[in-house]
Amino acid sequence: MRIRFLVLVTVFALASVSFAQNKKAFDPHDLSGYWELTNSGRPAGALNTISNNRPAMTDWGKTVFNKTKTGYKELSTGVFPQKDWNDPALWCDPLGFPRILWNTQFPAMRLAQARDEMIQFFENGRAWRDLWTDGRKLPTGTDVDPRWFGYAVGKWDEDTFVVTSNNYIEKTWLDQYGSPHSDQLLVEERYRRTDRDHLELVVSITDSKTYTATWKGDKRVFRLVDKPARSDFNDFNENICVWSEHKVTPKI
Amino acid sequence: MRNRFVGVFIVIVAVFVSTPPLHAQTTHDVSGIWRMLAPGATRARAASVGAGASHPTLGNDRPALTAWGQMKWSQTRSSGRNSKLSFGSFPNQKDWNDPLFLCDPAGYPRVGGGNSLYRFVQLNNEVAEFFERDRVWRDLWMDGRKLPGNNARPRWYGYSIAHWEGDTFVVESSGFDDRTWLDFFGSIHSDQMRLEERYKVLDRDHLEFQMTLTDPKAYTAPWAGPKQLMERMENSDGVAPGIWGKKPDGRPYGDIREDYCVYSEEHAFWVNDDPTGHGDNFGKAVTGEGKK
Repeated sequence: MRIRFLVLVTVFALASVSFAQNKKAFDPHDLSGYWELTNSGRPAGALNTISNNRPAMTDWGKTVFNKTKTGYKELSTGVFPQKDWNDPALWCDPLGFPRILWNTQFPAMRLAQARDEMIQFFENGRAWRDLWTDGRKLPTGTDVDPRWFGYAVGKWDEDTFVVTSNNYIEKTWLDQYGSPHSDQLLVEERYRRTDRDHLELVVSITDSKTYTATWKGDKRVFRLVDKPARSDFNDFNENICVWSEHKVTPKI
Repeated sequence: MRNRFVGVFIVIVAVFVSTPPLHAQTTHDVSGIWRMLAPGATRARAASVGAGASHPTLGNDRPALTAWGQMKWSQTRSSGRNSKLSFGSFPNQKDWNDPLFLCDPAGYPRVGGGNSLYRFVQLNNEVAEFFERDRVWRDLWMDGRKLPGNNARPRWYGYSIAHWEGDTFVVESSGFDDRTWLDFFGSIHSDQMRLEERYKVLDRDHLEFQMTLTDPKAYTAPWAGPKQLMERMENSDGVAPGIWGKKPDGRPYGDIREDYCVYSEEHAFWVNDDPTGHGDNFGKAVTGEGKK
């Protein structure tokens, strides 16, 4: 009787362990799913940008930056009345990358693995990026048309998915504070799935035309969700900025 | 005897395995970059004269409008002149109220216009459809979900599900925002519009497309478009050749362009380069704004 009981206990314990393992099992090279940006692990006072530690700007960078006008006091050129704000997002210019990552209203992204690439879908703007994994190299040269969301390639560095991108249209801001960039912007993203439910991301930008050093980002944590919290159809709603719904005259 | 049979069997298997398939793509795969050809364009013509990109069309045989549809259509002022599909002819640019001129989302099917190429990508539970124009995508869900009911929040690009019927990829869509036009003539639709798209796989490099619209609130009968050929592209001709280099087999890496309609750029165009001289007044008919 006692042996039978021990056997039962052992079987139950093994089954519990197995269940727990299965529940948390994950493949670190599988980043597929809907991921919501969290504030987990962020330092107090962290802003919606790469990090609060923006490097000093070059003269060119200062010239561009000094034209920006926002309502924020942090990292900005000063607090301006709303009528003077010239954030291009106000008239529905595409947010561009990496700014689209920091959007607090629509903070989710979806990663999907396809044959030749990882596709990154954003909840905001119905935008997506191709993160090519088929061996191609980042395009260089004068024939390349700059893009709002740049050109990107990805590769695995052990358990970290590393994305590099370039050829960005320099009209976009890096954040809501007006941090500028040039067409020389090079972005590196490092994604690492730390467990089944969490994905870490560190973004670093290098832009020697605008900044005197690399701007290294805080570690940001995304949480896996079955579906976006703001979903009508178990998918991303359309959150497209439509100029005719806002009618803000561009200040350019 | 048995050894001879085994030998023959091995040879057959070896030949089968070593021979490249006639069409490397299975019939249940539409992955790739595609260019839509104008109705009537044939494979031979496309190959010989390089027929230009067209757009998915419902054609000219538009059914009669309902009273609601007639009222909505009568408010359109298109730039597409000399067509029975347009509500009159409006040579004066300031009258036009095509929502695309303000960079409203084109919606489907109009997003396929303007030489916009398509790209289909097979994912594990859907086919994602990407467009050059506006850099948007549609999810063509294949995971068994049903189209949402009439209370779904309207979308510029609707809600879509897809399935295979033999060698034809069938996409059904509903829940469209009724602000979009179906074409540049100003053909309208309501939020009750349902679309069926059929992509028949002809061979690795060609699909046959046909689309049917059903919208009883706007039209008195379904509107079935003509058959159109779609041909595979290695790369978009809107992407500078060679920027991504070539694959080990010598073919180019494929990509489609990023072709956003950005109001601040269009605005600058109309203000500075409007040939009619209406400048900032353009768009008045659409937005209700007067000249600043």
